[in-house]
Amino acid sequence: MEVNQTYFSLNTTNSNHDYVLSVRGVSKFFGSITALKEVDLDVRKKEIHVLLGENGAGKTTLVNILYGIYRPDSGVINVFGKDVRIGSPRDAISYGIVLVQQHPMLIDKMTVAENLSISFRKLGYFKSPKIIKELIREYSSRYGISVDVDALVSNLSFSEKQEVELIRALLLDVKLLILDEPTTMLTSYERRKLFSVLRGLIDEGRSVLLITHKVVEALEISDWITVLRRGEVVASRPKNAYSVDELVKLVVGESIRAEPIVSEDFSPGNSVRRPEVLSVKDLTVVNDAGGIAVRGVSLDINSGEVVGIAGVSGNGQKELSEALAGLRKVKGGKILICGLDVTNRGPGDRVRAGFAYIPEERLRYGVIGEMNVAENFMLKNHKSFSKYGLILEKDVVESVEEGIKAFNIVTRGPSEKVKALSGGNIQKLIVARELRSNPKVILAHNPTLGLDLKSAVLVRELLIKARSNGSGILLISEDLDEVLTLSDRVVVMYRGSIVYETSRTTASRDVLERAMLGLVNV
Amino acid sequence: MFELKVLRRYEVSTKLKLTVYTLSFVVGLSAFTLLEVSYGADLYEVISKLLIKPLTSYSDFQVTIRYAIPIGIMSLGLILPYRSGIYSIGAEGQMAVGVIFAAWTAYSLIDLESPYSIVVALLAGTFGGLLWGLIPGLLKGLLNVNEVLITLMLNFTAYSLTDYLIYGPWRSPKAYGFPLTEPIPKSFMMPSYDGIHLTNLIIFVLLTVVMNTVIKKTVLGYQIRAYGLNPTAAYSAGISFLKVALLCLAISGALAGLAGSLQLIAVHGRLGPKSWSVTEGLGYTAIVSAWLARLEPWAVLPSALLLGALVNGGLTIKAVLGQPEGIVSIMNGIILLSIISAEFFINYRLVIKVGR
Amino acid sequence: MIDTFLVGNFIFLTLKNAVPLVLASVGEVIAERSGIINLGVEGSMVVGALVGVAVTLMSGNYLLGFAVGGLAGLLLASIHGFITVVFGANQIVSGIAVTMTGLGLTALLGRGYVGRSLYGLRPSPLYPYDVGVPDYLKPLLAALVRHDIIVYLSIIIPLLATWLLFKTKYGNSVRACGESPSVAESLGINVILIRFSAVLLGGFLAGLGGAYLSLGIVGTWVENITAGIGWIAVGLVAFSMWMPVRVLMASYIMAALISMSYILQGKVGVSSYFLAMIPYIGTIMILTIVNVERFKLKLGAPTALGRPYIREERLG
Repeated sequence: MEVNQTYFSLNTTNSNHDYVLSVRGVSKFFGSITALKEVDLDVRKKEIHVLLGENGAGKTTLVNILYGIYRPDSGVINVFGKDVRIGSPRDAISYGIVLVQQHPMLIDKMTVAENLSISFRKLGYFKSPKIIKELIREYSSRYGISVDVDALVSNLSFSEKQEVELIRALLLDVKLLILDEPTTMLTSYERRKLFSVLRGLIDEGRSVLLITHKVVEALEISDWITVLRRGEVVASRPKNAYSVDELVKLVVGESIRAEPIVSEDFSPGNSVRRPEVLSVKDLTVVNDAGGIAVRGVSLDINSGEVVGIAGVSGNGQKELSEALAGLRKVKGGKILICGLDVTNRGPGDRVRAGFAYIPEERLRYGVIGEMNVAENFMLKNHKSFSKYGLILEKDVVESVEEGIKAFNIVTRGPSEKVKALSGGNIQKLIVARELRSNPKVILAHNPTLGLDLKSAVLVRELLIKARSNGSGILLISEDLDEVLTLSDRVVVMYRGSIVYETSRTTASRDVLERAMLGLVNV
Repeated sequence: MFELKVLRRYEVSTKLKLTVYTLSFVVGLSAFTLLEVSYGADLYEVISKLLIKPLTSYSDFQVTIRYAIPIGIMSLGLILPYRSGIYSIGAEGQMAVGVIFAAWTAYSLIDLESPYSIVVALLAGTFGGLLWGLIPGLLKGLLNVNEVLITLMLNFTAYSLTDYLIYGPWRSPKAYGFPLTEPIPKSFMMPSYDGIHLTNLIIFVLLTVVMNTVIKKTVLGYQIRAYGLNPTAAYSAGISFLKVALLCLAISGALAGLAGSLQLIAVHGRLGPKSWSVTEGLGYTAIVSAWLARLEPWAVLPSALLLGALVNGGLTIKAVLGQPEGIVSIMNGIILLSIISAEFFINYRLVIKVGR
Repeated sequence: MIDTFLVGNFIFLTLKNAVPLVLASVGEVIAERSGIINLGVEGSMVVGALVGVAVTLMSGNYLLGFAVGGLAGLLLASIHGFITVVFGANQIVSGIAVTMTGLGLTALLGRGYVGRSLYGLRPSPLYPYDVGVPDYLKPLLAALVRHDIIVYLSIIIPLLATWLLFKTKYGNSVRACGESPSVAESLGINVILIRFSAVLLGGFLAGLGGAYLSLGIVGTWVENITAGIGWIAVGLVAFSMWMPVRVLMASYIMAALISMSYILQGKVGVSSYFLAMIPYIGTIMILTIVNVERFKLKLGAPTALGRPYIREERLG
């Protein structure tokens, strides 16, 4: 097999001193699950090395091992020709390895300077972080990054936070910069900017290891691509040695084709006026730091319609969805579900009014990890499984087993703890539970974030099915493609306001992206 | 060079849990024994007085049961808030208020015949504890006020209230100047059989069965567990926090009040200060008992018995060695610390790798 | 005509009674800023109170007694620190257990000290005179100037703590651990070390507060000397919105209530047992008022407060 040949030929070229990082035979197990199996990886000096693979292929696990968050069960890590043991992020940093994670690793309630002072090792513990401001200014001008050192991190946009992390890496004199899915939440403009900064770093003699699941992106930026599938390296070659088709095949395997779904019964622009199920009027919501996160948002969602909210993360989507779900107090405006005013009422009233919620942070809001599948399945409507205050276990188990089958949830059974399930199966469980009662309104926030392709496809199909059953769906997603494939209407949220609205048929990707950056006159 | 790895256990067997728990309990007890020995006690004497005699000698066992019943009933009550993530430490004060209510009934309804008198006194005591539990219940449920501090402040307040009564209006002129109240009327005293209060014991065992069902089989129990394991998910699923907080704290208060009134009409018969008090700090020991039972209602039966024995033994040691009240408090503290540390060893595995 | 003697006495007592509260509360602010709730404050205080008396009697120097009392509080807090920071155990239960242990230990070890006089060894006023003012104002002046050094030091402590928490890298690290330990770890902080040190610092300050209670206020060792002061101090933390400077104000309000329960004894027709309830009921009311404006509370509270952090290996 061709794949295996590449694998072995790499093994023979050992201890090249041009290698910044050389990983040999790293494996990692979580209980009975194999996350990584005998992984080899070499990153050369002045190279942008892309680690490509699907969600769940083991990329993040490998990165966490390189950054000392996990420790490998076997294998050797060699940095600049020396075998090292990376026991903590502190160790990694001392070897010149810095990780920029998918979600910014910054403290929201502190300023940029305060955040950066923490990781700046040369600063004594009882020294004031003031000195650092000069350094930050120097770096930002050298790399064309503009950062306000006194700004509160919670007020920064996603890409600004990412820039702060880049400066942090530079302050630590990074030799190998690792970026985990850095572009997921960036617009194309911001992505190009990031890539040019990365090129600048390479020119200075640093190296970059970039983790992504996007094949196109890998081909765009990389010098070398290593493909990871189900915890194993299936190919590692210079970029030019791949063809696009081949690369796609390597990433997803033979099982399914990567193809966004649009079901047949998806007929946009239905002209029949349907009843309003969710009505939001002039909604204003405040964030944790006390600033206004949602300002004067008005929205109407009709039965049998999907309204998609596109936008760069951190423009008020989180606060909007929490306010709609009754988890956050509303400062001004109104929320009506099927005509019933639920503003500033708890989630209980919403659930009774026919509201279903597929939250972004599913482990926090969606499931109770320490409870089993059956108990989580009845979380929303446990009263319907009871008589005289006693829970009818038989009814629950029957209904759960039905759900497991219908929604293709991979589990050992109703009594398995939910924390043992994979992200995709947890999401299927949540969707199964929320759709079970035929809800009038569904709020889905990043419903496929971090899911493997198969689960993501299934979740999207289920949403569309619910739509044809008459549910009104509000889809808040940072994935513009997802919004475009699923929505009848698309609105763009920027700095807490709705700045652009269009129907699916007239939506243009380019205009939407510009709107997401606030470059639009409404 | 050695490396310490902390690994999460994915499957935790019952055997492992039991072993770790027993070990941690033994460690805690040994630490206490060591302290006593270093304070000049004889090792053999400590072990015999603390654990062996209270469980083996019949006359000591009667006293052990006498402590185990109130400890157990209060633990059963405390399990509800603990399971819902609410940390009440108010059993002591709720018990004290229960005692006051029961005694007040007895003093004001002197002519009532038994067994009605006993039922009325128990109901009054239960109601008193319930009232004292409703205060933190309302404050927690409506405003999410820190329940640990509120319940503790209410304990102090209940102590002051008791002091007021025993030094003031209820003080008996016939107690040779001691701040003791009149004995409650005979018709209000619970009969005992051969030194063991069988009725109390039956109530305790029945309550254990009831609470076990409540936690495991009922909607309320489910809602309580949901809040304890993930409050944000429970809240967004529409479960009312006010209901859970109110019921948990009210029921646990009621059970503490019941325990107090049982203790009054079966054992003490009058109110007094400090070591003569009806509560004797058992409300705090009940916290230890609840955690020792790992918040499992059925496991309160053995854990309350064990702590009853330890309280009994501790007080014997105190008397024999002339030590102060604090002895039971230290024991409680050390055992509680070792039990909660055990959780770590149940959930995680330590692997030490020597060399590279 | 105002009874200046009474008012002076009230102010004098309030300033004095505030000292243990200020010290213990500021300590708890530091611990909670790192994300660890320490309910062992009462325990640390009572241990500090006993050791303070014991060391002062032995050495004849109350400043030494005061300092060693602080160390004793630190020692007890280290138990809580170890169990909650390293083992990630339930912080609330651990704190309660630590307090139980502290109260019991001091009852056991303190018997020999009960009622022992500290005559001539207690902190003395820095400026014992009050010349140059009219007689009727003397009590008011005395209430402000006739204090020992620790009363004045206790006013500086919150300022120092503010500097530490907000102007140094250590403080930034502490707050980072309290906001998100996992982010802090990936920023290169040793979360265990920072959290542990914050708990120790908190225990030290609580121990100092306890030592002042026995040396400066009560003047002798009594079993269970704290009588809930440590718990009240914990309650003041939320009331101060985790700001050391606000602790000062909160402590004076609370100390005024405590002083009132003394001053009013025998002056109003209420039993002293009911007056003794004032600080406890006052704390309940303060905590309730704070929570009515829950939104503000959320602003101040460390996000990861009470959440254990174990660097475990888990599924991504």
